[in-house]
Amino acid sequence: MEKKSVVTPGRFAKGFTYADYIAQIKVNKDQFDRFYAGCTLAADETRFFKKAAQAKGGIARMLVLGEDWCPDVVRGLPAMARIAEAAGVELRMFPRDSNLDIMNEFLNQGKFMSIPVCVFFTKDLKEICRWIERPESANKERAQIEAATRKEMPAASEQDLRLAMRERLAGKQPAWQKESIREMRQVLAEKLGIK
Amino acid sequence: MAKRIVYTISTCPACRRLKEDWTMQGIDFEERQVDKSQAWMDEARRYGDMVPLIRYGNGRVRIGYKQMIG
Repeated sequence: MEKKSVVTPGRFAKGFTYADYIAQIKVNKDQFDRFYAGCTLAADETRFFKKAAQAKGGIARMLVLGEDWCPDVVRGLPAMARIAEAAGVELRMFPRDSNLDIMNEFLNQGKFMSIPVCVFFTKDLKEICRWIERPESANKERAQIEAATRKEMPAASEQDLRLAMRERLAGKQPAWQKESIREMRQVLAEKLGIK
Repeated sequence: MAKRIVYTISTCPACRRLKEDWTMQGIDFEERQVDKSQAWMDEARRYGDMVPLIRYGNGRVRIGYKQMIG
């Protein structure tokens, strides 16, 4: 028998809207605002997400799990908000650590509490697909940057290495945000059979 | 000697473990929860980007606890 989801219509409605979430966060508000302001969807992306909402069994609701202190959430959530706006669908944000029952339904590889998680639902809350944490390119580039930094600074302390890496990673954030949108589009296109 | 400062996230298991151990061992430390204060978040970022992040009185910084990070 299929296990009942904790994401019922009533529970979904209890999540924060993007604006309400940002209004109550304790840290990184400036960064969320910067990533939101800097995130624009191309015309063909906007068309695609609208089509994804209009398709039979298409997206009607987006559930996001995250925390305001997490850099992947600071970059990813504003992109998800832009997708919801383009599609004209309802987004609800749930802080992970106070919604662990929801988190446990959407674990990364069935075991990791990675965030952000963005779950695309139909109107009656049937899951269409989900996207987790960060784009594949970010994982690859992070590893490359770490390896290159360690090679260039063999005698550096762990602290100096991490600070040097952070500066190099900062320049990659806008590209990773765009790549996140591309990946979410791709997974939706596959599931809904649209282009 | 200056007290150790440990930067934490309130729900981080590694941070919780560190605090329990140090409290049991009678180690004097000051906790700064970066998820509760932008000032502490900005301060911690000067030293690293993961928690727990420990800043010793002599200025040395260590990230993680017992090979765990938050």
